[in-house]
Amino acid sequence: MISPFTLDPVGLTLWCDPSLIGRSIGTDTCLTLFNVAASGDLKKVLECVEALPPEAQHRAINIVSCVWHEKRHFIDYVLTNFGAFNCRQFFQLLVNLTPLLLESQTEGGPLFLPLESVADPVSRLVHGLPQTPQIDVIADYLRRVKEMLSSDFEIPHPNIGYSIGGTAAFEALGFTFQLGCAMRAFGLDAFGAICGDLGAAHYQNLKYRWAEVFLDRFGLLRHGSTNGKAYVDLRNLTPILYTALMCRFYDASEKQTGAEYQAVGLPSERLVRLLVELGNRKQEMPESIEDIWCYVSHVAAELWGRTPIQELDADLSKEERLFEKLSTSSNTMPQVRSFMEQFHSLRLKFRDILMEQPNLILDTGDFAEKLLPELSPMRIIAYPQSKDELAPGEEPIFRYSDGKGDRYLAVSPSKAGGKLGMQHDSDMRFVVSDLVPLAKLLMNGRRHNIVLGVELEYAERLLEMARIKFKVDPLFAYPTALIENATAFEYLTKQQESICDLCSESFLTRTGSVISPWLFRANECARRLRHTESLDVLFEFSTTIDWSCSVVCTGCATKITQCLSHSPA
Amino acid sequence: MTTPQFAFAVESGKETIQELLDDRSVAECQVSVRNRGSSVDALNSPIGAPELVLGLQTAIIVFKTGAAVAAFATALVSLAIKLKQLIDVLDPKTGEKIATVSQNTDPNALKKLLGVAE
Repeated sequence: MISPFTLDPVGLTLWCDPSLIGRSIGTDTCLTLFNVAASGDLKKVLECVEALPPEAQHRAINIVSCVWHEKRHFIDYVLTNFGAFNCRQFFQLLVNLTPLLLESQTEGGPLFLPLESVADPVSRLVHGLPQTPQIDVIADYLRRVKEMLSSDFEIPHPNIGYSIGGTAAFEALGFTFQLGCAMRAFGLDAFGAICGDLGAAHYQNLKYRWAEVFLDRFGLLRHGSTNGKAYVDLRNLTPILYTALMCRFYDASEKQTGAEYQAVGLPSERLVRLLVELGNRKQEMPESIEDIWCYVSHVAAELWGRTPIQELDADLSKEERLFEKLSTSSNTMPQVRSFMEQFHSLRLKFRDILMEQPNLILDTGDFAEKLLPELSPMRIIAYPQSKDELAPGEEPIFRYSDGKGDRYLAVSPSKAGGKLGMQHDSDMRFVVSDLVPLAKLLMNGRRHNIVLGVELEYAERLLEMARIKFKVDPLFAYPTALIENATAFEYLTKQQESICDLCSESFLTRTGSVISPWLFRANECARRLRHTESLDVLFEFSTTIDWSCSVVCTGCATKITQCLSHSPA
Repeated sequence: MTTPQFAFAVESGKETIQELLDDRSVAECQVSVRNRGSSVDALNSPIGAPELVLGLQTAIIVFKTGAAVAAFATALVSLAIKLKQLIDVLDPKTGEKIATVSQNTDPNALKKLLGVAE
């Protein structure tokens, strides 16, 4: 189940879907908290939370801290070499979009999606796909990038049990700064409030806390106590993870062996090497975070010949050359050019901050006070059931028009751009509403965990409007989880009892299941079942534009599972 | 271009897929290993359900004969028993799940589902 707060790493946009969590605290309150947390004004956030009834305050603190978690992803994703590498695959794809679509049609089409299926010889054989020279080049590139990212995400050893790669590092940083910012805004009690609202299962989730465990294995986790209370001191964590994330990506002109590439190019490999080295010298670790950063940088230079800042500068130089080449291509749309330029310029600004005031990026307190208010990823609010009018200042991102009027599924609440973010203008909205969905469709078909399925439907409609014939590889036709237990639904909504969206019977929420909006679009049997069982008189209408999930009782979940299952005994 | 008659997508954990690819029954086959996860999925915040990181792999395997498919079915059941893992078998042409192989799966029933009943 998708979280109510996410950062889209393609458009670098901060999403909020208040539809479920709003049921626990009120949709308007949720949106107010989201907007004020996104502004990063700690005083206003505190006022906002203190104005709520006491029983709502723990949930409210958790909500604002989650927004900060996502804002932390924004800076880590843009600044670090690993994050920027992820982003650049998207730029490469967008620049090549026009020739790629044209070739798919001149070669007899249809365009086969995702493109990486085209680069797979066995998929090609299974689906009888013809040769398409230009598409093959970009498809091969996307496949290699995905293989690299997948290898970084792999669990390194069964005894470890969690990923220690670049994406995992983003989550560890997100959680560390989420707690740090909350404690700066609300005091030490915020820690208890967040952990209490999350519940033990989530708080102890190694997806977010693996780095603490891992640092401890190498004797690099510090422990302290204040007023008789023991605490864990995470000051070593960010400099170490940042050094791992400033990995080296070679371009085509540079020759290197696979082992050389892995040793300096994969955050997971860099992290292990660094921890072994630092673990051997832990007595020498300095006290202040600034000194720790210098010391870890010095060790990195011994290991790989470059400090993290030097790795960053080398990456920025390569990126500049790449973007110059991409920008001068006659195929590059002006909006894409502008997006690339803004992205690169933002990286340079972050680089200067890391160089001149590293504490602002590495220390949770300084980050919360000084940098958080300046970060301004574009905000998007999702309305999975759609709404019929825009509030003042809102700009539409995804809308549905039926000739009588518009309904809005996603809106951007503000035109204003901040100091450290992209411009929130019409070019950026075009990138987010048209190009990002198209890129996602081309990169992984419909198999994404995204906030609103309508994004991909939009992309398909764009291809149809351009008369581009396409076919989605059936293995990439839908997202992974079409039916899940309702534990997360119960947690978000705080509804212990629910009404089944199919049979309208009341049931204990935790015994039910949550159905993805894709299921009724993907599975004819489930669609028929919903049509016959549901009292929804606007069935066809709601199946077309409603992208909210459904909650169903055990009996209806069983029927739906039967629709999905063809297993032997 | 003629598409092959016997092609299956097998999805399970990495270890299971690696063992399967080392098995004699697929040694002569054309095989590719895919990761169906998206590299551009949203970066979620920790609110909602604790997520399990499953790291599934998908192997697409093309067989030349029905006899080879029958041997593959037997190997899948042996593997499910040995590793105590569930293994999904899908039709790569339609994406439909053909079977979920477990320790309790009857190899003959599986062969029937794979279209090579004796």
